[in-house]
Amino acid sequence: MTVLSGLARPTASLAVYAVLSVLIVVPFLSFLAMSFFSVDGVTIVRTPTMVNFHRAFTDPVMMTVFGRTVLLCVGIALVTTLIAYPVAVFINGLQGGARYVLLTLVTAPLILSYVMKIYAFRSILGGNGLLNRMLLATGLIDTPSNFFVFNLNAVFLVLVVLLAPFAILPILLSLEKIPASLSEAAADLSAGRWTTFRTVTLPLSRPGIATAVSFTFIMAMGDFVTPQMVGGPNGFTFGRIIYSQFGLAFNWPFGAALGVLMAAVIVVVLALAMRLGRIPGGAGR
Amino acid sequence: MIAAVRNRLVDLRAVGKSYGNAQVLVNVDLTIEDGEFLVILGPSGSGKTTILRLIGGFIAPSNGEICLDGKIINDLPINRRPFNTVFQDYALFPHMTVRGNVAYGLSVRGMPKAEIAARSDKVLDLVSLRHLDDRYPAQLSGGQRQRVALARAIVCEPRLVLLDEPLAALDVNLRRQMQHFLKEVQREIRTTFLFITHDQEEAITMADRICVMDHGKIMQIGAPRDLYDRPGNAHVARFFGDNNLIEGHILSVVEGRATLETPLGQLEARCDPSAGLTPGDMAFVTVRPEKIRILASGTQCPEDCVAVTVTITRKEFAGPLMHLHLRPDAAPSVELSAKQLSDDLAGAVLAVSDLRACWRVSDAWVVRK
Repeated sequence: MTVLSGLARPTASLAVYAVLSVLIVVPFLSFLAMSFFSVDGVTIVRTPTMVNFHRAFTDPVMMTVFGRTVLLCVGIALVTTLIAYPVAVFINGLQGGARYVLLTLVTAPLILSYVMKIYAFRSILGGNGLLNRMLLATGLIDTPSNFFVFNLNAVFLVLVVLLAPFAILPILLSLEKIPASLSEAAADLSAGRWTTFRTVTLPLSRPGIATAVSFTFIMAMGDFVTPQMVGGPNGFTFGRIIYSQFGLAFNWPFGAALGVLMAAVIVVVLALAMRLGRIPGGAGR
Repeated sequence: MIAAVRNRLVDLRAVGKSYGNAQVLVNVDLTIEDGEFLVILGPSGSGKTTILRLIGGFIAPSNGEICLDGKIINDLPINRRPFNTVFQDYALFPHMTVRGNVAYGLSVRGMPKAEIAARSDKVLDLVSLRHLDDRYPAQLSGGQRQRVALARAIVCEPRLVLLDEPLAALDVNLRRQMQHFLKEVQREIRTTFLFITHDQEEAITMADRICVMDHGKIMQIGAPRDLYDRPGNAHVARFFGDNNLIEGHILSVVEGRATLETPLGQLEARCDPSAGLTPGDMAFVTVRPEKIRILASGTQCPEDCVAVTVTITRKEFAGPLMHLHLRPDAAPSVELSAKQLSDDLAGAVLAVSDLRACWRVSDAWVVRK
């Protein structure tokens, strides 16, 4: 059924493209342009130059932090997805009320302010925080541990927890799309539970896994608030560097160049994820 | 017809299934004989699919026993039962090729690759899909998917193939072809088929035996011809092919012949001596429309016939057959329908108002109301 007729349709789609261009493409292009400028004191020099990219690739600190951040975020994406998958399978297996209660519990944190959640984590993770006190009380450790206090480990842990809903939901969606009759068919053809999972459920949930990995990776890469708040001086990430170029160093062109680098990595990861998420035979679309 | 003596393959003994207060299957007894093509026929909600799912092991019975070769298999999980299913929506694995789908059951069992390939080839040839073996289900037509589903089910050489309304989604022509094809395959591989359908024509075409179901109960089991000629009750008489049912009460029963008092007067008809019909019972005289002949009033009626004076109220031309709606003069509230070969009905006969509908007593059959 079509609501729009005549010229209204092309006009509407044109409007949609226009909005998308103005909100996404134009800022991105201006960012790209900015990366080829330079600064002189506090003024931006609009003469094309490669100086920013040169600095980004030659500065040992930049590349070290960049590599470390990519590794950290790949780790976060994989671990979050690994944790999210069984949760999604579990929720998908539930019926009726329990299913919605759990679904609500999973999505509830998304309603809370991001900053509030991080503050909550600070009180959990600190040297005298809930986690340390619990570990001390159970006798697992004798003195407060600094393993999760203001470092990259803390960033890793917090991001995994905060991003979990973004991994659970797409996986759950792809699991829901698998007809129940396929598992029945597999069982009917002598497959046990594990074989059915390995040969039917897992391959058919690939689009969900790919979405979960790319979502969490992109969000972890782009995040600079969490590393700032729980990373401390050791938890320096690429996002924080970019932020500092804009907010502290006032070197927008250099910040833009670093941003372009990050965007390039994200595009590569997205393309990889899309390829891995494809099901042979064109199912799931 | 020579009835082959067959062994019992699967037995259902007083099997019932309830969901909460809703009883979808009520203490059903059913035997599936080895090598037969058994069709379970019933409207939706009659419990026919429930029977298939119980036998397949997809659901557990609320009460009763399911036996294979006389041994109870209630607790045997789906993947250990030697049955394979053709699902209503085919349930083909969308991410596997035709060959992948067909080979699935064999590779799950850890069969050597060479043997898997050989057996898959054989079955793919049987369903004439070998040339499409690298296609994915999304690239196939409905009929082709249907054949993949069948191939996947029979490649494991199950004791029993369960088919859950597999032709429901196909158009009429393809349906006919597939009915024929399924029957052929069944003969070829000599395997027992349990086929579920709501289409009585399909059931008659394919079945060795038909089990008619309604409201979670088995109404009658028998060869298509038996069900057609000797329905066990009013439901089967009505559901299974067109029929005329004339209500009345029984006056006498003598050796397979009953006399009933009906609005059309006293009618004689055959009946099942073991059905326990006794004088006073309410019952129906049933006569198939094609057994009724229309005669001009002067014409002599053959011997041992029932003749009723009628008026034709409506004529429907249906190709070779003429469908006539008749109103008996003695009882205008009763409507009879008759089917005659169009060629047999001379225009002169139809023009005459004073007509008689006539049928042999041996073509009429009594069922309990």
